Amino acid sequence: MKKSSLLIVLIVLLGVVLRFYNLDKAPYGLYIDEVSIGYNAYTILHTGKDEYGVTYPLFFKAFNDYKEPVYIYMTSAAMVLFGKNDFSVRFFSAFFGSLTILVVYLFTKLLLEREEKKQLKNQSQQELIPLITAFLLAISPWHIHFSRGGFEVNVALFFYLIGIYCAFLCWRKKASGFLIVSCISLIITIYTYHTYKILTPVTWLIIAGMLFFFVKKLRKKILIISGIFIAACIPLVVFSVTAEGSSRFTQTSAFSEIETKNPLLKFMLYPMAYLRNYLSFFSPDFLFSYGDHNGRHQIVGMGLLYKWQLPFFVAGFFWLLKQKNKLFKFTVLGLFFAAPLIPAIAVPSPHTLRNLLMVIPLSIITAAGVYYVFNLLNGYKKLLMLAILIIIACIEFGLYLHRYYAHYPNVNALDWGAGYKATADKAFVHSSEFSHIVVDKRLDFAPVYFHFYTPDLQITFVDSTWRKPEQWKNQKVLFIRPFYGNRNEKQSIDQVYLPGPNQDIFAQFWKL
Amino acid sequence: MITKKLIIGIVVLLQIYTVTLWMGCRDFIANMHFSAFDSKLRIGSETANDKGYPIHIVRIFHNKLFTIIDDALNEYLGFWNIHFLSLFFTIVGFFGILCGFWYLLKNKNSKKLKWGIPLLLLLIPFIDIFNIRLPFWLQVLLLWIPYAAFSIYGIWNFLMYHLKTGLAITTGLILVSILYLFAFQQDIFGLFCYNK
Repeated sequence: MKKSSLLIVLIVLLGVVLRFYNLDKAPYGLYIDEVSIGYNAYTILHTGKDEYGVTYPLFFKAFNDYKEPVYIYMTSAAMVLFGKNDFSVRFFSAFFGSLTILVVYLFTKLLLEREEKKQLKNQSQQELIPLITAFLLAISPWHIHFSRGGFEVNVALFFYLIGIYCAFLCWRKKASGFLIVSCISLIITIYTYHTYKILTPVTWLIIAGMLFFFVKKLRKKILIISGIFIAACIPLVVFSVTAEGSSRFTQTSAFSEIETKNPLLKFMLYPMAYLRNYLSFFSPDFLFSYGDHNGRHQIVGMGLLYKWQLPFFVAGFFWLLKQKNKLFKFTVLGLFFAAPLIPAIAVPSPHTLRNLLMVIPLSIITAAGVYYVFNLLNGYKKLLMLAILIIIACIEFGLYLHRYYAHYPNVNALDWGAGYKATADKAFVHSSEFSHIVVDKRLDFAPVYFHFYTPDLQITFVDSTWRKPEQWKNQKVLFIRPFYGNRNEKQSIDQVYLPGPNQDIFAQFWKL
Repeated sequence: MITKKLIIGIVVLLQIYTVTLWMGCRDFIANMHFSAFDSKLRIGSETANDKGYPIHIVRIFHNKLFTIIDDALNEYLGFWNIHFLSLFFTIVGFFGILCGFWYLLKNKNSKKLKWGIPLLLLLIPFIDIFNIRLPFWLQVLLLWIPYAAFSIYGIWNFLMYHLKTGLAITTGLILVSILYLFAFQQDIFGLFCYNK
């Protein structure tokens, strides 16, 4: 086995461990979209219908956000293997997240290999940069974080990379088979995550255009495959022009916050709002200090990348701009600058989730920087630098893991719906003692959590004016309601702490 | 040559106008200043989550040295927030700073110049971050003058190396800078500094 092959196997294994270790317990509890995905996957598996009774839908209504179908159907498959639990909901995200490490290695290697014929002296560069890139992605807080939750974007990122990788393979080997795989992968992305609905067709346009121009013998096949791609996009386009299909865009549009009816002002201000959003994705404080401040998207108090990566990123960027290998240079820079193009249309900006694609060029550029800096040094300086780098990187990585496993479950329980899971679990424990279970709708997300975690319980959801009906007079009722004050010892038999965005409350269990 | 000088003149005027807007501030917001007290509070709140962990682990990850370095770096990176830079030096000025770094490192300058100037520029924001007791207008000028001058150096070089495209790009960026200031001028007081 070649040394680099052994190393990449070890790196991927490290990535697998970091993504799968305690997957069902950390983060503790499924967040609201994960529960929705899980519940829809469960109903699809057992009835062939979604939660609203629609048979095998192409778009899932969920919370009126009309979720893309791929991840939900994948979760159904995971439930066949592992049952209905948190692990199943997160399995495919962690699985494809781990595989992305391998793909990014192959992708970087392919981009650099083109230079090999011209410059044999760059052999170490062609082996080391892909390995360092894969390693950086394996330990990346940004990528680990989204691989450990049921985030569709992570699966979309994998297929997007496969799509581009296979397109490059098609270019090099002049074989249309790769283009078919590329086309299928890219079609999957548009049915996996919102951002790719626009990004992928543009990418395909560039891929098909370039291949058409450079690979003349495949022109006919490129046209046919492009036809298939367009045909596959039709359902999406048709759906997007409906009110339901465009609801997600109108909910999150960056332009909705500019309150003016003057068309001239709109003409001037809209591009500026877009520009501000777009530039915000490159801010060092976003990348290295705080992320997007959403506790579900990163560890609070840590950036998306390690701080030690910053000087190497700057060095790598400088090195990249000076590169003569145009394919490598323009592909990496293209990905870097294209990644926020679509997310910048929406608010809030910057947004870590929508911009996950950026983690790939960032890893490649930083890896190039590590290679470049160490190439500038020699002798004892190189060793000293390496020793310092390893110590700092280990401390920061250790701190990340410590925060992830020790702090995150406590500090960000709110973001992961941990209290709602505990409420559903406790309701199940108490259920045998009662004839009816009634849940106050003011516990906002309770219905979907109860549906997912306790599908066999008969639960009545009521509003705040509800009183125990006369016909239940002699029956025991478990009433679960939000409680804002001290515990009422007489009626309350149990309670669960529910941290809230404005006020922390308790889900209190009353015996009526 | 005249067009080049005219463009540079407009950039200088635009930057001067921008800095006068900042003179209406009393101070940068607290988030842009390092505070040892905040670091102490942070250690306190973070260690509260470490119940049950061995004390040596807690000491490794939550000690004063690491937290202070981390906090200071966070404040420092806050200075490089692109929205802040675009409102402090204008978009065209920010572009000029990037060009300045590029041409300084790329050209065959002496090593002292090549590394000395960027190092000095990179250290200047610490004047603000460590809240050195100076009148606010002086703090602003100490931050602004070196970078504004450096951005002119960058734009000058950019125009020298790419005369035709450079003129078009710089003119475009000047227009964008004006529109950007028009659109987000209020963010100076809303996001980055306290009003007088």
